[in-house]
Amino acid sequence: MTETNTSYHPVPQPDDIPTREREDAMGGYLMMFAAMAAGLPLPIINLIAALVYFYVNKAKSRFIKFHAYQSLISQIPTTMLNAGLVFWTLRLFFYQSNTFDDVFSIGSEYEIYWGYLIMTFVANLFYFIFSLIAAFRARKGQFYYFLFFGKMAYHYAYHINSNENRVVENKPPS
Amino acid sequence: MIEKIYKELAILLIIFIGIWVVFIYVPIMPEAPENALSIENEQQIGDLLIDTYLEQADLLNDSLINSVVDQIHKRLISGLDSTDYDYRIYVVKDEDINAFASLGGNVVIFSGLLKYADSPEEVAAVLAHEIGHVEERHVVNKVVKELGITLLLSVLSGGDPGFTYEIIQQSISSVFDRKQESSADDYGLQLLENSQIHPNAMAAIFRKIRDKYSSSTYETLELLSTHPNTNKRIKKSLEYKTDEKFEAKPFIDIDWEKVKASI
Repeated sequence: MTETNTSYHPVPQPDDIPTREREDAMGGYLMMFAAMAAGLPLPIINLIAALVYFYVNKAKSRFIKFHAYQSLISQIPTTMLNAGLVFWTLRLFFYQSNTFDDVFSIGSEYEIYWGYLIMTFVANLFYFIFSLIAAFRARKGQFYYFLFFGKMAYHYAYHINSNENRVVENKPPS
Repeated sequence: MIEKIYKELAILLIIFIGIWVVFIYVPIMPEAPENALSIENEQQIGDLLIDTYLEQADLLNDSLINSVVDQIHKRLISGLDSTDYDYRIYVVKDEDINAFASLGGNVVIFSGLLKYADSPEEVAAVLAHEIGHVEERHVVNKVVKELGITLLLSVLSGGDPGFTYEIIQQSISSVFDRKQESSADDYGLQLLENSQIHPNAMAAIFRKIRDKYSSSTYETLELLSTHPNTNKRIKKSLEYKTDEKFEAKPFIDIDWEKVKASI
């Protein structure tokens, strides 16, 4: 990372990270699975749970902050897709009173729905697999960067805020 | 770093939108199951089925009605450009206002429909719709989907007679999906125009059936019960634009009141 205008805190090595921190970092991912299962029909529930976990744990260390944040933000799009799927499905069957035959028929006008369903399925699968890998890595005191979310979380947790180093000097009144 | 984040976001969006778009165009359902059955075989099975059906149905054998149905039939056939099917139309004594197409171009009309229609054109409209189901092979599609091609072909080699009956039930009772209904309507409207029958007749008969059956929620009527969008279908047939040169040719030889009285 040869950045000129932004600087980052150094990343810790696995040996430097205490077990307690590793477990909390891993918990971020595992917590999401539990919340996701519980909140499936109403995805807002798992978002709230994820937010709570993140705010409770983020101050503990940058390593935990990184993992908890990565887990939180990677969950948001998946949750949105799932919410959209639930909404769309209910709408198809109840509001527009389609039958299963309609929606499942060959060459029907529901291709867009089917495409969305498969995309959502793939998104959930990716989320699930990569979260599991990340949870194991976190347990070992390692980093695991998701595409996009990984860099975002790294930036968020390790980015040096310009205000951080400013030394406030107290002066007598002039 | 910020630039890289945006780049990866773009990659992620492209991947997922790509998946969506690809699966809109890649069919996930098997394509056209009706192609598994040749028209020749369909016709053979259809003839077997209709014989079995007529054994237990009450065929209306009235010379006046037969000649009327024959006239409507001939007029509609004249509107078909070409067809692989040998259409046969049977009138069965049944109070339901209904008609259905079985395999191989065998179409059954219930006498209730004749009684309830106010003109031969309205009966023609229903028949045109059913012919649409046959020509676009919706009936085969449905039966193959429900029962499978192997079982269907086993009828030809003298399979289980109980099974023959099962297929008949399938082709009478189960419903077409909305898209099939809609395309059968389109086909029917075009066919009516080609046969010099005013396509508005379809709206007339649909409206009558809707009014008759909307009061009783319990009644099941295969012809229209499939979907609650009857109004849309009526509207479509009212809005159907005929060719400028179109001229409706009435069934002058048919005294409809007399036909109705004879049922």
